[in-house]
Order: sequence, then structure tokens, then C-alpha cells
Amino acid sequence: MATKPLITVKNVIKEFRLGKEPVRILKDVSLEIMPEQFVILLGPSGSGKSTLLHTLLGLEHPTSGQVTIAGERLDLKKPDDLARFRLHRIGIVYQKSDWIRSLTVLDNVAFPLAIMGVKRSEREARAMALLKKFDMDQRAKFIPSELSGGQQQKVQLARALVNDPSILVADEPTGNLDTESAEKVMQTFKQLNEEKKLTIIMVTHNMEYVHYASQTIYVRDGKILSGTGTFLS
Amino acid sequence: MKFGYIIYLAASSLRMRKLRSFLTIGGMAIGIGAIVFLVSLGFGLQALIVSRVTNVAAITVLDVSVGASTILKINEESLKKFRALPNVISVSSSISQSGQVVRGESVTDIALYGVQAQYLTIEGVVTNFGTTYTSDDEQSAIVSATAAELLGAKVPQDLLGQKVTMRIVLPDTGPVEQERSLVNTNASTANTNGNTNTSTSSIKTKDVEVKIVGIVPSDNSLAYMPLKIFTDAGITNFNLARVKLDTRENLAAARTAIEAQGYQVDSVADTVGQIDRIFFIFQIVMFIFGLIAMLIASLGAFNTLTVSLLERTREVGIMKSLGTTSRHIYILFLSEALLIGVLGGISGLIVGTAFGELVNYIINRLAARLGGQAVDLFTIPFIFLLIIAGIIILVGLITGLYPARRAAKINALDALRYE
Repeated sequence: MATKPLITVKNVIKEFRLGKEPVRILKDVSLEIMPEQFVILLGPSGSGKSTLLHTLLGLEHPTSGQVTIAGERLDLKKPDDLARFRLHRIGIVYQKSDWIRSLTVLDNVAFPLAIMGVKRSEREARAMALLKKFDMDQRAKFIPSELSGGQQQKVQLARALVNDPSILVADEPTGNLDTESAEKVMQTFKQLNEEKKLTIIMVTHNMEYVHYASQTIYVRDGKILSGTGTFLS
Repeated sequence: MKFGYIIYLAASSLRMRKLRSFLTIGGMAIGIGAIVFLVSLGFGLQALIVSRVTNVAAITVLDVSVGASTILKINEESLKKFRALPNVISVSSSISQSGQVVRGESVTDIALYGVQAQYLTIEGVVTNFGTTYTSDDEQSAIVSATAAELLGAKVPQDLLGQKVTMRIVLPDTGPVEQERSLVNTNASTANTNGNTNTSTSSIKTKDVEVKIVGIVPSDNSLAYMPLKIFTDAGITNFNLARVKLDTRENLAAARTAIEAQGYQVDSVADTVGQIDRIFFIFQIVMFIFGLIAMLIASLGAFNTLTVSLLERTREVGIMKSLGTTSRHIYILFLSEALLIGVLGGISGLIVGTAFGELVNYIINRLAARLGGQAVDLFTIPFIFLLIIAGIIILVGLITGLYPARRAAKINALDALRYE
């Protein structure tokens, strides 16, 4: 195992303003995540786990504290630089699948590559290869909304992986799925973690999946309960 | 993100909402089409009327006459003065006299014009039968169809090649005329002037035999003959001098110089200038009408883009979270607006031009049936096409800037929470 953490969160505080009153969602959070881990962020709704995840994605800017991923200080970057960082380093899977509705499944999967400026033939080939991996190549020319929830989640996964990220972030990826589909998604995650050595950070409130994780972080009331370096496996 | 892909994305979004895109682009097309149709009608009518009023040769010509003055004369001496003015290319003169034409037993009153052969074109003399005279030494005449009829010709062209006698009424010289007016009021001094006949009612005339070479269509009884026939008859004062300048710009200076000598100066350029001014206003009014249509269409486009942005808030959110920069989002939405503008503009140009052609075709068909000439009622100058292109870009930018700015500012997380 690598000795240097891939992700370091140091004394992060995040406040939102509700009217005039500032509400503190993350209260001095610190944690470290080593490369190639399968991390599950666990906690009840409203605990601040999603906010923590968004801070790791650079979608939420910490009120104070430091967020370092692969040596880059996210808390110091501008929104467009954060966008570029996500584009090249992180794959994202959301609970609810969102699509560019005017594009086909194939175009949606290839979209991150289009942002990078990869030429059409190459991005379509790479997107198609991933769709094939998830048995979705037959649906390549469909519009995403024509697919079932489980299928959409597979396509989302293909889109998250198309840019060859080193980190895969998933926000309640099984939340909208039936037990069987959810289990399949978890299996796929595990496989990616083991075979592709992908660092996975997954948010869930479902205790059932804890056994997949190599590190579990409990969040409650904006604080980490079992802190950094809690290795369960 | 490459620009080609941004356009692809914008186009796919328009394709997805087919009916709405069609209506929005259709609105733009009607707006641009209305401008094209109305303004090209303005330009077409202007070109048509200017071409009817004048020919190109006449536009640099000043018509000099004595006006109401009884002292001023236009004679060889004054022509010489006109020729000496700067930028003057040539000076011609013409005479109009009343007279009679005699053919056998028939005698009819006629207005006689003395015009040099080379200036018949500027004078606007176009024959519909026969030809014009080509030399000033000819003893020829061009008569109007009405005069030919009065001379007993069944059809005017019967007279072509025939000889007739033109009886030119000789004018009195200046001083005589003044005395004559005295004579008219005081009969006792009538005989003091040796140049006139004893009777105040008798008029001096000169008969000239000419060959009719051409017929012009006119409702008046009139004839054109070489100027030399009149000068040979002893007429030394001209009614009109035509001073031709090298360019239209030099017209004003020459005009001032001639008017300073007391002459009255008229110019086709005045009329053309007036026509141009009137049509400029006409075109502006047309343009404003078109612009109103365009404005309504633009509001439609603006509405479409704003609604489309609201619908696609989550889409913007996912794009940003996947790594699209705000700048690219901005360009994407602006491109969509420009695409609507360009597609609407091109369709509008086609619709406006096609509609103009259709109306023109119908009018020409009617004109042909009623025996009129074919005309071109719609003209689109190149500069106007550039203006239209400018309007399209401008409207695209104006309708697109606000939604694009809003889209660029959207927070990805807020967008993903948006329902």
C-alpha cells in the first residue's frame, strides 16, 4: 500500500447561510484516504456526508480548511479549474441519473471526452468499449431516458469511467434501484476497485454495503465519528 | 470543448425540441423576411422611378432658361460663357417655336423643337417608328403620332419618308416685342417699326420643306428638327441651353455660376435628389415596420431560450459537474441563440426574396396582359444584405447574452437539486 494519502481533508468547516444565521454543516472535519481504497461515507440524512463529498469534488467550496487531492489544493482553485480537475481525475455517479437529453446514450457517455476535445472517432470507440463492458452496447443509439433505472445507472458508470479517472465518487448510487440491481452495482464497484485499482468513495445511508468497504467513515452532525484511518477490512 | 462540438450540441438541442425550434426560427424568418420584402420594395420602387424620370446621361445636365426675365437671352454669346465654366463638357441649345405643318391640303398647328442630333437622347426623344435624324444638316423631322394623325395619316408610319412643309413662326426681336406691346395699346405708333408687317395681327413665318424620318409616341402635336433649320431661319435666341458637367458633384458649383448671371437653372438631378430623399424616408419607414416584426420575433426567441434554460438547468448542472467550464456553457447557450438567428435569418432572406419575386411575377403578368412594360419592383442592394447579416448577429447576441450569462453562472449543485 502506498504510504502517501491520495486525499487529505484538514480542519474543513462548511457553513451555509440560512437567512441571516450561518448554519455549520461540517464542523472541523479532518480525514485521509489512501490510494486504491473503497471508502464508504456513512451517515443519516442531514449528517453532512453529501456536503463532505461535494467538497471533495470541488463542487462545494469549504468555508475554511484544506482539501488536497493528489497533491492539488482544491480549496485554492477557481470554479473553472475545479471543473478541469474533475474532468481529468474524477468519475462521478449520482443517485439520480442526469443526462444531456438531446444526446444519445453513446454521446452522453462520450461527453467528458468531448469536453477534453478528443476527436469523434476516438471518443466514440472508447465510449462504446465501456458500454460493451456493461452490456449496454445494444442501447448505444437510444436516448438515455428510454432506459430503465438499472440500465441508466450502468450508463452513468460508463460515463464516469470514460475519462480514465483515478477516483470514482458515487453519491447514493443504489438509492433508486431495486435490491438486485443495487447488488450488481456494488459488485461492479468492488470489481473496479480490485481490478482497476480505482479509489472509490461512496456515500450511502445503507449499512448493508459496509462489508464492501476497505474504509468506512461515519459522519454525524457534521463530524467524523470514527475518524481517519478506520480500516475495517 | 471544440467549437464544432458546441455547435453540434446546440443543434441537437434545437432538433430535440422540433416544434418549438421551428416556431421560433419561423418567427425570426418572418421578421427578417418582412424587412427584406419591405425594404427591397422601397429600393425597387426608387430604382424604377428614377429610371423612368431620367436616363443616366441626363443626370449631370443643367437646363438653363431665361425664366421669367424678358431682358436675358440665350444666344451664341451666352453659350460661349457657359462653355467657359469649369468642368463643363459640352453645351447644347434648343429652341421651341410654334408653327404649322402643311401636307397637301392639310394644315395643322404644331409645336416645333430645334434639337441638335447628338442631344436627342438627352432630350428623351425615342422613336417608335422610323429613326431619329443623325446629322444637323439634314432637312428632316420627327413628328408625333398625333401630328401624323392630324395630317390625315391612317397609321402614323404612312408618313415616313414623306415630305411636308414646316411653317416656323419667327419670333420678334427683343426691342420689337416691347414696342409691340405699346402698339397693341396705341395703334397710332404701329407703323414706326419697319421690321414688322403693317398689321399687328400678321406674323412673320418661314417655310421649310422637310422629310419625315421618325415618329414619336405623344398625345401632343409636335415635331423635332435639327437646330440648324431654325438658326438658318434667323432665330438667334434659344429657349434652353443644356450644360453638361463631367460629374454630378460639380453640378452645384456650375449651377451657382450660371444662376449668378440671372438665368433659371433646372436639373434632373434635383428631381432625382428629391426622389432619393423621399425614398430614403420611405425605406426607413419600411425598415421600421420590418424591425417591429423582427422585435416581436426576437422576444419570441428570447422567451424560448429562457424557458429552454430553465428546462435544462439540471443539464447544465451535470455538464458542469462532469467538468464543463462556465465559459463553455456560456458559449454553448450563445451559440444556440446565434444558431436560431442565423437559421431564421437565412430562411427569412429566402422567404422575403421569394415573396418579392412572386409579387413581381404576378404584377408583371398583369402588366403584360394590360400592355404595360415588365418592371423590377424589388431590388436588394449588396450593402443591405450586409445590414441584414448584421441584424441577425445582433439579434442573436442580444437574445442570447442574458440566458447565456445566467447559464454560465448556475451553480452545479443548485442545478442538480433543481426540479
